[in-house]
Amino acid sequence: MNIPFEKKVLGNGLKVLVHKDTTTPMAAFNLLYDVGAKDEHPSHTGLAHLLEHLMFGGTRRFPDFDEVIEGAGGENNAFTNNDFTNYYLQMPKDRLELAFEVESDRMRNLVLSPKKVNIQKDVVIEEFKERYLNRPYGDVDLLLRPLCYTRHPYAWATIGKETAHIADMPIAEIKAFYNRYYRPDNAILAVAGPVEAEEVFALSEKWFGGIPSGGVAPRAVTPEPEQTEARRMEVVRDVPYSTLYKVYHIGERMSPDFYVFDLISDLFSNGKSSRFYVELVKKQRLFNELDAYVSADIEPGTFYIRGRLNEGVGYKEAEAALQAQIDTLATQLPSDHELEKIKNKLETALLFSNLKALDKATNLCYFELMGGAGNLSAEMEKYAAVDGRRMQAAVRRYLREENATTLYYTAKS
Amino acid sequence: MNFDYRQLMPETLRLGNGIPLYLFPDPNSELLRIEFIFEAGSCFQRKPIQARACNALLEATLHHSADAMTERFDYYGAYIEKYVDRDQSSLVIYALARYSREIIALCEEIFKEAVFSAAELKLYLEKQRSQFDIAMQKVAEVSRRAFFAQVFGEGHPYGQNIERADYDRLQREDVEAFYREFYVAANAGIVLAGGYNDETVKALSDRFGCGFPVGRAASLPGPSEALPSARSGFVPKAAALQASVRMGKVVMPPTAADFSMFKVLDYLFGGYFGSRIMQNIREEKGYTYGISSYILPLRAHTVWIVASEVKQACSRQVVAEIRNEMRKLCDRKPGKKELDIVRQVYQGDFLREMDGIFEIAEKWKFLRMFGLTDAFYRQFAETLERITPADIQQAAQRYFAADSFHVTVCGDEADRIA
Repeated sequence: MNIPFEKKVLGNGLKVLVHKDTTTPMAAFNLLYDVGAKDEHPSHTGLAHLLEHLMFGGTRRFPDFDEVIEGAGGENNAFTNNDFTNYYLQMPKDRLELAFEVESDRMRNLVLSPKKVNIQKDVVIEEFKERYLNRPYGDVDLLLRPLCYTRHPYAWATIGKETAHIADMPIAEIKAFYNRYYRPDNAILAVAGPVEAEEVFALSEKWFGGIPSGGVAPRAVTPEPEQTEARRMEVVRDVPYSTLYKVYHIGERMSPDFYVFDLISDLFSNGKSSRFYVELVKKQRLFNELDAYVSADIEPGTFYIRGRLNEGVGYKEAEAALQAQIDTLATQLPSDHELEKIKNKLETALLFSNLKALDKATNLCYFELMGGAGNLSAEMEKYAAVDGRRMQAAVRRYLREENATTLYYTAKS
Repeated sequence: MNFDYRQLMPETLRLGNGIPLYLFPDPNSELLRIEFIFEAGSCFQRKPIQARACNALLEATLHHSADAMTERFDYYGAYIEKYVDRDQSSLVIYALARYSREIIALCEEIFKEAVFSAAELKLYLEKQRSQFDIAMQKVAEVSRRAFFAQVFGEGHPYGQNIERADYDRLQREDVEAFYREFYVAANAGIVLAGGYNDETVKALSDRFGCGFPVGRAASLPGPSEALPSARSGFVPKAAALQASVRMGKVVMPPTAADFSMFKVLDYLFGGYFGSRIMQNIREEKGYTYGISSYILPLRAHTVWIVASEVKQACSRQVVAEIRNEMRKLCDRKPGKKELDIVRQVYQGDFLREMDGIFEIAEKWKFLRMFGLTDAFYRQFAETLERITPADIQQAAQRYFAADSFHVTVCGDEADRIA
């Protein structure tokens, strides 16, 4: 997989990346700000995401941001996670300049009226309920994060710790956050589509070049100390099936461990021929659903196992069966055939996730944030380099009880 | 709008047994999408879950167990997606083009030599039952079920819902019978898209053009004469923090002359972020995280639906605001500027929806089901270009008559509407 690009850094620090893709009539415009939930104050959580909503509230020049984009046949949206906030637009190629115009304007000139702030607080609180509180198992992330992280701000979810943090957020705090982080030297822009690099660099200079840099101070996030003893918690909820969660600390996104664990998660649970499915779902009938996956956090993240227990199965039995799977991988090398299988599946998935101009623009920004957009094209090689021995070493080092957080999410029967 | 509509129409080959093979080439792609479509949706089943179970169990064969077959698909890096809707069943395979030969051979085996074991069925039903139990705790799922039962009636194939006990009733023989009757050449179509070559096409023709029972084409459902009249329904879910609101009715099919007019009205009303209901109910009142309207085209009837999850005890206000927005469109023409935005939004959405050969191939399923061609989209583009604010008002007066809507709410007693 090769995603070529050109890069330029403006005088104010804005990084600009361009990927030419002539197979599409639409140009993708992706603007990433290096600010996420991890930059929030622990008693004012949910701010980065609330601000993302407010970024659509308009400026003096463009009072209705969506209307301007939609009126030009474009589409735009955004998402926030613990690490960064990402805004993206897709525009017909001949209207691409409008994306530069409105995005550069709202980088500095956002209007934060009390009325709009209050409405978006309501909207975000409804989002909080819809996704976390009013659905079965919705609050799992809210429970697990503070258990896994004792110091690091990954201890709270992007939506926030609780709805009250959003309801009580002072407008001055929102403004200060915006002024501090929405700066050209804290942002990465990527454009992909039927475009020439020079044209994009010129537009970037024209619309963003005049914005002064913010001198954003380097981030000082408290690292999470190494976990030295098992953590456990049980909650009882009105859900139909008890569910077991196990979360292990692993390395950061760009560390070699990430690739190893991503492949281990596939070996365990990707597809109906995966180990967990064949052995624990189908043969032993302990779980009716069982998944393993990695969080793609930029800073040291986690490896998750989530298993929904069949009726009559106890946690002890389920955990022992999982441990047996972990022990098997720790002591027996997977066959070449099995490794080829998970790498083939990974290749398909990787190609699909970099098919669209917008996906490529977003991924280029994400990799630039993590040290260099060029690394995106090296992803397949990094996975290809993983072998059974590295998997074993990683399992032995990380998938230990002292490094695990276990949650029993018990069905009220 | 600069779009080559001809690319929506595939080259079509007829295989020896009559199965149509539709081709959407993209020679530069390293990936492949193969879709096998059968007229085998849930409307044909005699027992609940029959169609779904049959589609899901297409794995084990005379010569290989389900585990051995999934192992082989996985080995070649393939992802299989299975879809069963009310009208059709399909199996979509996404794969690396370099393994197309191997993948097609595997597909032949699962379709032609399918065997259905009681043990696989039992496992499938147990897993599905647990997903059912979880889904039934979601207000959106409960209101969706109640809504379709209300619109079509529980006796209608489109209005039937699965009940928990159904997971204990389905037998291996039911699944096999469904397979024998509906997974036949007379009911099949194949859509091939992406980086294939002549060899791939030949492999599909050779393997699927013969040795497949031709069978009898399913008799397709037509529109029912009498559907239940509009009413309001409420399903209680104690202490739900949000209520799920659904509102809608049966409208004209995509083949009707006035469909394109209604589609523009739907866009303006609830089809995009700047739409009337999203602006009023989310952006001005903050009752919800999202609200939208959409058209669901089923073969026998097309349904128009407004759906949202709203703040507790606010469903009455939300329903009133939806009606209010309908009335406003009946009373007053939209501005030209708003209509121009709708034109632009639609065109942008259209270009994005058609951006890529896999997306185009996916749309073919819809055109084919209704016997439509690219003329459908050309004609829509023409309507969009010439439609006036007065046309929108007239359309609203015709389709938004106040008493013709079903309303379904699932939520706390505080949200009771009926």
